[in-house]
Amino acid sequence: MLKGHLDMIVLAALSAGPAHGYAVIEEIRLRSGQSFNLPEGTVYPVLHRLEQAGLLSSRWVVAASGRQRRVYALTRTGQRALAERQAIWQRFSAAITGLLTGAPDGRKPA
Amino acid sequence: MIDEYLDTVAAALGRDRHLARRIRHELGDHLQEALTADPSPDREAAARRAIARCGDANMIAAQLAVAALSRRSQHLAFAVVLALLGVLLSMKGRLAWYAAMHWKMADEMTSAAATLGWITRFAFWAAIFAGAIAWVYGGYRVSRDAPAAGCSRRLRWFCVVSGATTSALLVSVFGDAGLATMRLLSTSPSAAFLLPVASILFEMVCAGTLVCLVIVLVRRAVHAGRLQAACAHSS
Repeated sequence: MLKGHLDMIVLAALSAGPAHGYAVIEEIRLRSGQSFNLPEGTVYPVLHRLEQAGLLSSRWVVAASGRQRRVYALTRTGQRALAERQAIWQRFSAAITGLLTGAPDGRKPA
Repeated sequence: MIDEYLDTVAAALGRDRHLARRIRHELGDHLQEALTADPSPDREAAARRAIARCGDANMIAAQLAVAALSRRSQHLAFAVVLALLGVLLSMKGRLAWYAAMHWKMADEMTSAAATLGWITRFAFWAAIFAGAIAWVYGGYRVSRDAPAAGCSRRLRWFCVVSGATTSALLVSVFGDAGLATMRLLSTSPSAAFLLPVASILFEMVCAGTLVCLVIVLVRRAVHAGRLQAACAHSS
């Protein structure tokens, strides 16, 4: 299930600002309350794919350690894509909650 | 240990050296960050843990190889359009040159030239038609949809359509070369021959570049497919 939403998760992690791969993983862990523990390397194919789709931009920077690192940032298209996916997810989430609780808009029945 | 892991990922990416170099840097930086964050005094154990958290090297390489196909498809789609435009301009320029030079076809070659001209025109229009489909697939459908679906049916179709475009363009270029040869044989040699010869060479370069790009894309798609299959088999 997580795999199907990886793009949205990575876009959401980058919504806080530009970050390199390791920081993206850390952000995902932090925001998910340590719930999402995916293999760390799998974030790179997602970052590359989103960059090719024009949702992310990237550039090399030199870290404080002196190492070269690739930093990714959301593009405007990426921000729009994230907003669209968030809206779809919220509708889906409300529908499932409604289904499970019996209330049409997700409110618990009295 | 970390170097071995990075070498495995880079080696699995095969001939895509640019991607291999980039991911080597990215994953190397990632693993060094993970090592720095690990407080354990046993650095070897910390490296082992960092690598384990990173995941299977071949799986990462397979996913990266599939993701890279999207970019290659887009490049090929652009190349198809540029090659078709280049060949069209070259043909038109050559015909204008013939008219300016008042070069006529020898009578004994007229009938053969008419047949070859018909074949060349048909092949070029077929290349335009297939190229338009390749542009739609490569520039839009493959790049937006295929990455998530891996080496999908759409990518295979894109390879087929690009191959058809390239084949038709090759026929058209060889036809043009034949027609130009007939025209030049019907005229006394002069320095003015250089322009038609250069235009034919230019067309050959355009078609040759397309052939190379199609072969590279097909090879990368096959390689990515094999990596995916190997990962699916091992997991």
